Amino acid sequence: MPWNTPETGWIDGAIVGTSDMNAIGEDLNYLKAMPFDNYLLQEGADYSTSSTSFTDIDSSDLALSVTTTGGDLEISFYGSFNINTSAFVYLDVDVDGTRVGLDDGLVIENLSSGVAGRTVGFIVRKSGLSAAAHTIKLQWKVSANTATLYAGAGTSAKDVHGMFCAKEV
Amino acid sequence: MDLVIHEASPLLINPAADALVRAALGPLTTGVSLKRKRGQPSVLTVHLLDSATGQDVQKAQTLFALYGVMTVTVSKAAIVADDEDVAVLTCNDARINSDAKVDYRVWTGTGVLYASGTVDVVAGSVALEFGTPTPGKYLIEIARRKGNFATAATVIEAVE
Repeated sequence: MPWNTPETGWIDGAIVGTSDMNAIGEDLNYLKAMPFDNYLLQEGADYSTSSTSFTDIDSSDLALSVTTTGGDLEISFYGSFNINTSAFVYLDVDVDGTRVGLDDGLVIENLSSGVAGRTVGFIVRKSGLSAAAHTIKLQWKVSANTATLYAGAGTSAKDVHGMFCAKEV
Repeated sequence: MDLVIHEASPLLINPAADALVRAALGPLTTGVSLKRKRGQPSVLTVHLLDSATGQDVQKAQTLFALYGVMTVTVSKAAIVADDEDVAVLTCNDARINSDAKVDYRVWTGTGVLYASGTVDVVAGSVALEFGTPTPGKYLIEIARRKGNFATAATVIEAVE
């Protein structure tokens, strides 16, 4: 359902036609169901990486697709992490092949070995997008060692389900 | 570039895979990642610099093609977590007939390197004793130090 730029120049005595009412109806439907996509983690195994350069966590499932109509994207994530030996984990979001955070990404968390379930969440807004289909991927890297993202994979007492979302705003 | 490998061994854990590729490829790799969908095999991704050559890619593939292929037998799969009970691992494989030593690495269930070292090969066979006072599952790898890379791997659980 496309977004119609609302008419704000109404004047007294103006005739409201079918197309005007339909445009309002379409916009209400659009607002009720903004273009969005999300993914709830429920995997066969927790994700893990030792990559010291940014890499997709899951280039198929944690790769959202949103067809925007000219607005911005609001992208959010929460998830719980662990590491085998203390180090930093970094998170970023890739939109159409370009990371939003650049540099060392959007957020950093200092993970300590033996402290399981450190939860990270963020919301970021990506503007300047054309009205088109966009691919949004969650990426991570570590400063050293191996980080784990719990993925609802049945790990004892750590069977938690993170979520990755993107919607047009 | 990312080299995607469907994991051959269900025993492989990320830190062990990382140790393998860093030892073999050095600075050409930035690490490895593991994932698995429900009902599907694990997928291992080796992250290589763009400067990696076809030979480097082949070397990384070979590492995991031969992961866990050597036969290892254990006297028992579960031991009591104390200072007394031990399991004996025996690797008797034609690949190590002419080797003087092999490496061993012990990983905890959370991927922490618990112990490592070398052990002598005697008449083409390796015997390794493992005991621990700490309960948990341990992944034990035996790996060749020379020639064509190959490993043996098994899991032993220490119970209270």
